[in-house]
This record gives sequence, structure tokens and C-alpha cells, in this order.
Amino acid sequence: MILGDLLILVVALLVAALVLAPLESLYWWATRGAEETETVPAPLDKPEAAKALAAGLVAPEGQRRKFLVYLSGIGALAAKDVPEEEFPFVQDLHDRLEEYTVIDDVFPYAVDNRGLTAERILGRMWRWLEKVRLKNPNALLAVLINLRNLMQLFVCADRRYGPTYNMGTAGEIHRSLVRHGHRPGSDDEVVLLGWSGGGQIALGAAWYLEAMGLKVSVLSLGGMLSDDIALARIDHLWHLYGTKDFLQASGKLLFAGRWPAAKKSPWNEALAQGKISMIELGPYNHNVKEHYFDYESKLPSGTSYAGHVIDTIEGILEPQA
Amino acid sequence: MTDVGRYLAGLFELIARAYRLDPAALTWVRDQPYSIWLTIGVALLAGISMMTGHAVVLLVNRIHGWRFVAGLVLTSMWLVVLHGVESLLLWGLGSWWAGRDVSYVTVLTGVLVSTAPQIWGFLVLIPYLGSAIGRLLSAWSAVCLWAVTATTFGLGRWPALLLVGVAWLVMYLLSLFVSPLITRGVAALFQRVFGRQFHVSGADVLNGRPLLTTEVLA
Repeated sequence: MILGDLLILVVALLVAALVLAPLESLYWWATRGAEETETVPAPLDKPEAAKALAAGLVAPEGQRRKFLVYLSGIGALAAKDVPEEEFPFVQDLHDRLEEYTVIDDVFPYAVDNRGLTAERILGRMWRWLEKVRLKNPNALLAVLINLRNLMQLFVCADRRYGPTYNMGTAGEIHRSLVRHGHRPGSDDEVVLLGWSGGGQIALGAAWYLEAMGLKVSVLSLGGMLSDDIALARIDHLWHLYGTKDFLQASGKLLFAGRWPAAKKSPWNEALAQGKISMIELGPYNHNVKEHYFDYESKLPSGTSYAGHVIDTIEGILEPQA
Repeated sequence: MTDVGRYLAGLFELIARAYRLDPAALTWVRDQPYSIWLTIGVALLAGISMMTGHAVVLLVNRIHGWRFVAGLVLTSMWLVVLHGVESLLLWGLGSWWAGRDVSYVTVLTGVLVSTAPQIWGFLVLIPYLGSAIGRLLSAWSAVCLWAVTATTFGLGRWPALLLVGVAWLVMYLLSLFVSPLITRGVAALFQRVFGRQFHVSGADVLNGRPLLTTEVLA
């Protein structure tokens, strides 16, 4: 009896959380979103540009710069507060991708780049969960973080809420690009590397970044991807996946636009145009062990699981290296 | 049990009967002391629930305060008009088809009861799955309407389906030819009352214009 009541309570709470999930981005849009997106950073004035050029922060006129923006998975609490296993991987990206400026200061699950542990209504709860996860990375309660961010993934993929949500994340990515030397209005190359839920957020933001004149590609690492309309605009999508990763595979079941029957969907049209490359990495799990960030487990070739992912990404982005 | 308690118990009983497609639901509600208020209660709950979905459209349009409330009232009134037209159509067509006099209030009661599934209308807010849930609820409401129409006019199952189908077709044709005029009228009214354009839809936002400022393009 009590178990039944408890189940009803859990379902009711879950439905309430789902119903309330889009409110954060809608409230942002309704109160300050449009103003914020209208004031994306202006180009540097001449003296500032000369200073930045001398310091090597921006590229000379006409030289296209390359950026890789890393968007974490649904386990992230803030841009820099991601599961521990991701740190060496991101460091490897910095070290190995010589042609790219690697950026990892964007939190993909909030339209204003505000981490969950920042000043929020539920900030105290997220800070407490952060401590719980620090003590025990596999704590069951930490699943709440994943659930909250997963709901934002669905907001991003929703055709009603997606436009405002994606405009927010694209604005934040753009601000970060400018902080790292992108000259607003120039046609710099941007690769959005989205891990897990970050893959979908990357796709959503790509629509607007391309509209801002950037050349955008998406690299999905075990991403849960929908048939996002941005597929019509991006340069290319590489989807790296493991054969044992059922979470990334759920995307093709969950999002009807990825079903083979939906011939005119953005996903199937992009597939037909050769804009999507599905790259099988091997017997990777989504997490726990033998996953994309695992430096300890080795593949039959002797390379670590994470090492093989880095090699593959380098092979795609810098094939000559 | 107090009057309010009895009313609420009756309301939940009616909703449950509508969900079960109980053919005796209308007869049952007619025998209740608050008969018409029970059916209005069902429609009101459904309307409030559906309005939460419309609230999102208003938020995307960046409408706040009294304008937000007025927008919801305007949308509610539009829904009332739609259901009114639907009940009139069913009453006219059904009476002619069945060849018997059925009071308009009886038909209206049936139409209001058939909105019971829309009590879950707030679920359309759920990201990604919400649109599919919305369609499911509409289909469920149509099935409820089918069931109550069969009872109201004493028609068989299949003639009642045909009747609901014809009413739906007439509503569809009406919306096809009349809705552009209504849309223009509502937009003009909105412009006059709120002093701004209403039709900044999700699709407009999707256009990305707010991002393409002169600053960025310079």
C-alpha cells in the first residue's frame, strides 16, 4: 500500500518537474532574453583590436580561426563542475588539437550559462547534491542532476520551446567565442563537441551560430540526438558511438524524425545528403566502465578507450597531423 | 457531507464516467441536483488546464501582467465560441437525423462532458512529448463525444460516429474559410488593446533575427 502511494508520489513529482522544465528558459526569454540576444558582444574597436592582435588573442583579418567548444553531458552541474572523469579528456583535447582553440566554459543546460550551484531557487539543493556526488560519484541521489539536465535536453529538442532555449545557449557560446578571440561577424570555424546530452544542445545552438556567419560542425560523442532542424544548416555532423551504448541508441527510437519512415525529416534529409557520418568506436558503454573517458581500460589494440576517442577526433579534425 | 463536498464528489464521478465512456453518464448527470453545474465544472477544469498551454504562447510573445490575463481570457472566450458552434451543429444535424426533438441543453451537456480528457491538457507543457499528448487528448475527447452523441440522439454506434464526423468536417471547413478573417480580426483587436503585434510566434523567433543585429553584421 505504502509502496503504491510512494510510486504515485514519485510519478506525480516527475510529471510536475517535466511540466515545469521549460519555465526557466521561457521566463528568461520573457523577461530579458530578447534584450540579451540583441546585445551580443560588439566587435572590438580599433585600439582594442590592435592590442588583442599583438597579444595573439585574435587572428589577423582574413585568417579564419578554429574553435572547438566542449559541451558536457547531463551529469554537469556547471561549465567547470563536470564529472571528474571528463577533466583529463578535455585536457587531452587542449593538448592534441593544435589548430583549435578549445573552449570548455559553457554550461549547456541553462540559457544564461548559470550553473546549478549558482544562486538559484534550488541552488542549495544542487550544492548539497554536489557534495554527495563528491563523496560518492555513484550515489543514487546524483541521478537528480542527470534528470534535471535530461529535461532541458527535451526542452532544446522541442519545436515550441527549442527556439528560445537554443537562442540562449547559442548566445552564450558566441560570448565565449568572443572571449577566446573570435571576431564577431568573421566566418571562423566552430566545432561543437557535445558529449551525451551536450550533443543535442550543440545541434540546437548550431542553427543560430550558423546564422551569425560562423561555419559550424557538430561532433557528437555518444550524443542523444533528435531530428533537429539545425541539421539543414550545419556543415557536418560526426556521431561517435559505442556498440554497447544504449543511451545514444535510444535517440533513434525516441525521436520520431529519426525513424526511417520519416523520409522528409531533417535527420533523414541530412543523411541522404551525406552530412552525417556515423562512426563506430567499438564496444563502448555510455558510462560506469569501458566508456568514452576511460583511460584505464584498454582496447585489443592496446590503446585506452579514451585515447582511441581522442585519436578519432584528431583524425577527423586534423587529418594531416 | 457539505454541499461543496457533494459537488466535488459528483464532479469526480462524472469525470470518471466520461473516461469510462459510460453510456449512462448523461442520464446520471441529469438526475443530480447540480446537473448543469457539474458539466460546467468539467468544462471549466478542462479550460483552465488547456489555458496553461496557451500561457506558453503568451510567454513566447513576451506578454506580461494584465495583458497576459487578458490574453488568456480572450483565448478562453474563443474556445467557448468553438464549443458553442460545435454543440449547435450537433444539435441541428442530430435532431434532423434522428427525427426527434432533443433539447439543446442536453446536447450542450454532452459536448461539455466530452471535454473531460482535456483536464489533462496541462500535460502538453511537457517538453517534446507534449505535442503528442495534446493530439492524444483531442482524439480521446472525440471518442467521448462519439459516445455521448450516440446516447443523446438514441442513434447506433456507427451513425453517431458519422454524425460526429460530419460535425467535425463542417467545423473544419468553417475554420478553413472563416479563420483567416478571425485571425486578422483578433490580431487587429490585439494591436488596439495591447499596442503591439501578437504574431511573434515560435517560428519568428526561430528566424534568429534578434541575433543578427547590426553590431554582429558590421
